Amino acid sequence: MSTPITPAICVESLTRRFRRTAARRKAWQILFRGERRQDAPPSAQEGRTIAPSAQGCGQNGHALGPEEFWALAGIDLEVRSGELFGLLGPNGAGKTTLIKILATLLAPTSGRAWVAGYDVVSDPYSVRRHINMVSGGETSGYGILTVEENLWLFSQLYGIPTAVARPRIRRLLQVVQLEDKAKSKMNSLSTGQRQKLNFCRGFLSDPDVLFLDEPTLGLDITAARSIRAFVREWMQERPGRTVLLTTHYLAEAEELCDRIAIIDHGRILACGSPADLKSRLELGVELILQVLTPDRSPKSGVRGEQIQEMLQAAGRAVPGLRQLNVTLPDAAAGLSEGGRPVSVAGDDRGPTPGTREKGATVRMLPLSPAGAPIQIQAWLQSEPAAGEFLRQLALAGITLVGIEKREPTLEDVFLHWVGTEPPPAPAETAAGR
Amino acid sequence: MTLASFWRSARAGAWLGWRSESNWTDPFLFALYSLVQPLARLLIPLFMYLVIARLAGGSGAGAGVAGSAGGTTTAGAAAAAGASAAGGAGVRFFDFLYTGNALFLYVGAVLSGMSWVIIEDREFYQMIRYIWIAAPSFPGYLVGRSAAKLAIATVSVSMALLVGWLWLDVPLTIPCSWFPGAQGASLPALLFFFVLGLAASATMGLGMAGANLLSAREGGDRSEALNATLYLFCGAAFPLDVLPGWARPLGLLLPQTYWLEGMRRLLLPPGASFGKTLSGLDLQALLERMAVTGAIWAVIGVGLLWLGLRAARGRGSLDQVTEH
Repeated sequence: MSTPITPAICVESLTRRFRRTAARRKAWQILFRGERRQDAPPSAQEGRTIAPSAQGCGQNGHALGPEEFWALAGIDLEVRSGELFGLLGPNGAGKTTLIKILATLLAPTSGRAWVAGYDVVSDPYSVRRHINMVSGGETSGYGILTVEENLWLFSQLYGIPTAVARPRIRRLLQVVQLEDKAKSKMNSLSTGQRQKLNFCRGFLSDPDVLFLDEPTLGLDITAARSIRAFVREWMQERPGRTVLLTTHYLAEAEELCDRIAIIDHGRILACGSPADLKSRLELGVELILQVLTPDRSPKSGVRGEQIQEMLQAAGRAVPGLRQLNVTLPDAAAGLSEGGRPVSVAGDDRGPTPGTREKGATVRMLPLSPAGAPIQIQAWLQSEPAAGEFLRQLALAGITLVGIEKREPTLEDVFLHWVGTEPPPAPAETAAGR
Repeated sequence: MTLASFWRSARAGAWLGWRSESNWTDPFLFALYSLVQPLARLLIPLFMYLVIARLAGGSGAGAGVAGSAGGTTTAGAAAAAGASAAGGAGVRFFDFLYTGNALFLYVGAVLSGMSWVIIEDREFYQMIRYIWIAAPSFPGYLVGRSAAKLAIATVSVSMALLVGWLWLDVPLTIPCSWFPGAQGASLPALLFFFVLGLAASATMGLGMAGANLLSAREGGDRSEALNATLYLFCGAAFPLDVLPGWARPLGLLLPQTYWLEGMRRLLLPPGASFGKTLSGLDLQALLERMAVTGAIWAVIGVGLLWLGLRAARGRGSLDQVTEH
């Protein structure tokens, strides 16, 4: 009989209410105006689908005052032991609030949460013995101490013998390329270097559960990369180590996380592996094809209408074809067939000059050099539809000379659920991803 | 939470506190500051006393020796009250005042030192969240952090007493015997009194730290206010007898009152008690009362810290930066 695995983090109907402004209400305001309260956390925003895990939110019976809002509006979450779990969401979505509650820095308004098997409210001391936390973009040590002293101080608080702590500190400083600053006072470090120190402090205690709240914020490309590599290596070193990561860098989340939850307005909107989340989007399959016509002619003067007819014929035979963009070698043509989700149109990348209208949707096609293959961009509902489309092209006598399949990205997932652009990554860091 | 985790947190906190206190300048300037600043603080009220006592008809440093009775000022009244109850063995009111003020430096160091840690770690270093997660005992950490201020205060108090003994004729008699002598004075008694009194002040500091968790930077001012209140009511400067009737019970509820009285009796020759209220109590009675009031304040202090931590976690102010 197998032993049930205790989740590293378990969260049940967790809510957290905050006051919108820092201003304190005067006693007379409460006495004479009363506490106008709104029952329960708000339901899902209009038009937005709520993941099954978020069902049941708002049933805790707590009330909101006029100046209050829900930072967490009923979170249910389970992070398995040994998992690297990502939390994605826009600013103010509730990511840091959730981490603060799990790290026992903040008490929930209602609901329950366990970390490493301990209740964060009733047994915070036991929780803290098993966790550590790295928050990005903040002061990360005592300015009066050197880098090494800062880390040694925390090793002593964690009860790590100096003989063990010293080599561990050296190794961590090597990982973040900060070993040459070991004897420098922290107040002489740059923001990125301070963040590296913060990172080292987080791993120093070798915690069972580690909370990484935007750990690579402000780091240079090399350091961010080595940190990601170290996180992976650290996870593999001992099974059971668990990381809860919040980040605005979607590529980082995709690279590191086993599972991801999209969070916004204090609710988990979607949860699953990156592949699972992308497949659930139902964006279908995007194919980029390089083709040659039967007369082998990507040559000057090729008639767009001919190509259109051939593609439309192929398209009619594939019900799952959603859209078709064609880039001709040197001619411009594009027609749409009424009622069909097939359009022959130009490149999606932006408007091009010289648009001519004919039929429904016609856009000027950007020109490719003469002699180059025709490029077809096709959006299809599913993998079988994509296969069928390729078969129909072959039947029409079109020769495939190049094929590329594009998957939906995590950014597509984010945009789908949250509806806004993720915050732009700093150029230096984004370039490294 | 075990004693080991308390000790571990206190040790790390003490190391950090010492670095924090001593690392801001070069050693010479630090030593100079550590001596001059408390001495100046100590001498200001003493010189005020001397001037007032002279105006009231006394004679300088000797004004307190039962000679300024009838003075209309507070200092004169204090001296008069002292005169009425002094043992008359050559102990001046000035000696009472000097030792009281010197020893009170400890109370300020422990009290404000411990509560200031919250402001410093939360607002300036912004490290309190990591300390909270890392430290196995938060009270232990606070005690450790204030130990550095205690160490500096020890140097200051020692210097102040030395200056008083050498130049101001304060008749200090540190008991060196292991066995009780006059008035039950002995080295173990002195150490026991000293440590117990500091522990009582430390528990008050824990309470202030708990209150500071819920306030912004003005929490530092609150500690100063408590410090000043204690100074007024605990007999550091004024014997309880000269306080208004309503204030005397307050003084009797403070462990520092018995601590200072006991420490004076252990450090000064017999007859160092000024004022009727406490002169009837022997050293053991003082110790008992200090233990009882200290225990009450310990419950209040630890309770306030516990409530403060709980409320701060509830309000989300544990790691807030108020920026004003």
